[in-house]
Amino acid sequence: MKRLLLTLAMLAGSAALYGCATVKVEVDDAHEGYAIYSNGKKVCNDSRNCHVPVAGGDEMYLEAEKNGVVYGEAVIHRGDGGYSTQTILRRGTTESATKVAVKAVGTPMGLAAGLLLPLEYVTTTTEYFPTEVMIPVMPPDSAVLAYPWDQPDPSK
Amino acid sequence: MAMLFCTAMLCGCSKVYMPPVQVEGVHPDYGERLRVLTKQYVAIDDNVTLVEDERQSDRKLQLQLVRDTAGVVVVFEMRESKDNSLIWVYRHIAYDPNEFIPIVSRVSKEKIR
Repeated sequence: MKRLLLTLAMLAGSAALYGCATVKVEVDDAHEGYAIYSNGKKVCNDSRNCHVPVAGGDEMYLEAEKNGVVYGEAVIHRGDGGYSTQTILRRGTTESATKVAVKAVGTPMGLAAGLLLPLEYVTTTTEYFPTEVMIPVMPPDSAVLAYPWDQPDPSK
Repeated sequence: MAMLFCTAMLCGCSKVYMPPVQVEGVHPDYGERLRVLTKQYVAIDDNVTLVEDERQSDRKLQLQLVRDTAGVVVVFEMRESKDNSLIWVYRHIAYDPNEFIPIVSRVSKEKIR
């Protein structure tokens, strides 16, 4: 009985945490706000104050958009007991911003399964997310100054 | 012959026509580079067949490169061939031509199919 109560309390705590688990998403442009999309859905109008609810599934694909143009993206891959964050186009500060993790229950299915399983199982279904992700949207300095788009392609 | 016909019927592939890339303030070489790359990535997808004749296509994929202050905007625009209605449009900034590959890879996997 005591064990059952403990399990239920743990589940309730996890459910509460799952409901409010968010990832703070920023861009490396200090001057302007970008709309943020998570897995194709708009989740923030302005990246200067953006906390994205943790999505279910193995991947969160985050995009930063301004005036209908995507400027950069980052992907959070989730695995057993951990996560990794990857920027697609440019190296950003994301790597250094993903050291701290919060716990959240992976899926509602996990919760349902947890009701029928011992406490140990519930803890092993817990997954991790970064608390902050920085999406690189700014051009590398050298590219801005150097790339001559109006000249013939030198690689041809 | 009959087998080929059956395969084509069962495949249910979408036939996509790609006109030449439109460029604004960008050398046509980059338009060609984007076109070749997109064809390579789309060819990987079994659900899509590229056709050379627009009359044989179900959809039309128009690519554009538009010069922007810091780079170029790569535009992918998918339209119905029969009435030219817009299905979707996706725009992504590229600061140098090496950024074409991840952009095209993503669009091919998530949008074009």
